[in-house]
Amino acid sequence: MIDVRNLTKIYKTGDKAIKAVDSVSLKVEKGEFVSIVGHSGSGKSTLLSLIGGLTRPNSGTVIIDDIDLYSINDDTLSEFRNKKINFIFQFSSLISTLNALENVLLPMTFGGSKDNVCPNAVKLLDMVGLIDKVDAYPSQLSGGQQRRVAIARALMNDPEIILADEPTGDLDEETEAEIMELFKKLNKEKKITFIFITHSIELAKQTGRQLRMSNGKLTVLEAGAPCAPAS
Amino acid sequence: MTLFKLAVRNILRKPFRTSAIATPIVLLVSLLIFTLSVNERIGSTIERAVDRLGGDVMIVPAGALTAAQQFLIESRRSTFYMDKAVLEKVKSIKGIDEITYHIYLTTMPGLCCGISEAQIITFNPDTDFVVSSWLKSTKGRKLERGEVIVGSTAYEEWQLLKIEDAAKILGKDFKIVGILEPTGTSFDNTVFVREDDVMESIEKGLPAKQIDPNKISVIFIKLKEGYTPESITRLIEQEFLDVDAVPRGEIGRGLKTTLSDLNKVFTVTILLTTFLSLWMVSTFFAAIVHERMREAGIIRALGAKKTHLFRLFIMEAILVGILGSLIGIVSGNILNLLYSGTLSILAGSAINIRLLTYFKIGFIAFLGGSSICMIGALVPVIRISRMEPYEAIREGE
Repeated sequence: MIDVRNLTKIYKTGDKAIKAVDSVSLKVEKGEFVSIVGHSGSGKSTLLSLIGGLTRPNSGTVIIDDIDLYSINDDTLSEFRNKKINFIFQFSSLISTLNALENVLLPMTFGGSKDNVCPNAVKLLDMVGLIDKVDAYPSQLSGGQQRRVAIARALMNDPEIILADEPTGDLDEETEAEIMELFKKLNKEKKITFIFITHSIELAKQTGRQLRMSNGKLTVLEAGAPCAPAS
Repeated sequence: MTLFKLAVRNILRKPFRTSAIATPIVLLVSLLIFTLSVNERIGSTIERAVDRLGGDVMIVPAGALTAAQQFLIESRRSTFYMDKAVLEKVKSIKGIDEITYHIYLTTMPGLCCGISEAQIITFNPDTDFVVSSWLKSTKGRKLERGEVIVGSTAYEEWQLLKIEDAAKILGKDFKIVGILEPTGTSFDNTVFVREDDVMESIEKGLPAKQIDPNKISVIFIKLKEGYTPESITRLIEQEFLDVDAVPRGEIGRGLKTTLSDLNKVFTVTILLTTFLSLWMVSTFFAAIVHERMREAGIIRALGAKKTHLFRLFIMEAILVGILGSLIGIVSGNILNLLYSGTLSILAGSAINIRLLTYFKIGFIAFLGGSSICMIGALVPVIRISRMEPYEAIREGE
């Protein structure tokens, strides 16, 4: 379970202090599929990175499976990320010098079991429909294909949580729908917990729970209704 | 996928990026190889020449010191003479342990087309401690009548002759009994003959007629313990106006001074090039690290520790440093081959550096190049490895 309590992140630019995330609390159960919608600059990505242990908050806690992420040291946090959490970003997050298969294998470089990794990676590429692109470099793949490789990579360490930051952001509708179906399938079959950031309310509606981020505050998204607290 | 493989892939798949960092290292290492080799060649030539002489003081006719040193160090053939009586006078000086002399005869013309001339030197086997010691160490005996020892270059140029073959020198048949190991000095192109053999030729009226039996070219002195070459040199120069003397340490002084000046120029050039290379590598790495900020953030998001990221980038820096250094060693040697021959200061000096010295120079240059690359990369790499993953991703966007 993910338990976020009173999370606050402030960015300082010169004399100005911007509260990107303002006292956010959130509970996500194991196997839940949660979406967060909001405008650009509303603090969605910062919240996701705080939940994933990518940046330290100014205050508040993130507890995942009884581990307070920000009370452990950086090395342990990295190991935790490697084993439990994975990310899918809006941008092309593949390493340009590695081919599709090597990109999928990349998380194994930093930890995890070394047994059977290559067949497993090939299987994942097959699952995302890219078995014929195993040797292709990112520059030889379309945006949608790159995103699929990133999804296969996110699954490589059998993570319990996937944090997806607008993973369908710049993709066409057809590819967007395909990827969304893949996420739903993974959520259902592998019981992976998803926190999914999107601009699209339509996409958000396909998830189990919809939240809205606005000016650093997290509220429940209810169509046509005023925002209520998230948890 | 290991960190090493990832580093190698990053280097190979980005050739422009790699060559941009490697270029200053190639230039630095080439310069190091070239300057260290030139320095070594000149230095070792002087050293070997002085070692070969074996004496503490060398005496030559007044005004012939430059010619004598040019002959010994720079392989410029030369003849100069003084009265043999000087030998007896010098013998009377207190502190002399051993004394011997050489006569530099007129050069011997090459046997055939394209074969260069060789210098004939006669020595007295009874007093000699210069040539005889070489023969003793290789043959275990003195040079007998009718025998000659030949310098390595001279021997190579007499292509058709072998050891134990007879060679006609000064109108007389001589047996070649030994070849001197290469020294890079004039002795490589010299034929050593016993004085009594030459005198016999003169008596028989053979082609050595121009040699005056009462003349010698150079005197070598070994001193007893407690006497310094400098003090004896001063004494000789005060007492005998018709000769010039030079202590062992001063032989090749002109060249040593030139070498020392050259070294100062080399040192400044190397320091400036090192600084420039360091600055260039550091700047390139800062730019590369900035360009790869998002990549670093992603790698961290995938579970890489700070040390993983540090090791990955430093490994890349070291590998590029190694690559640049290896190319630099090759290009430095090519530069040596192409350019050092055109330097008059190197004309006649040892062409081949000893293998161990060669490896030493290569190792120093290799270490220098690789270290500069690693040091140059250190600050940007430490900076990126310390960044929070999300901060790196945001900065890279």
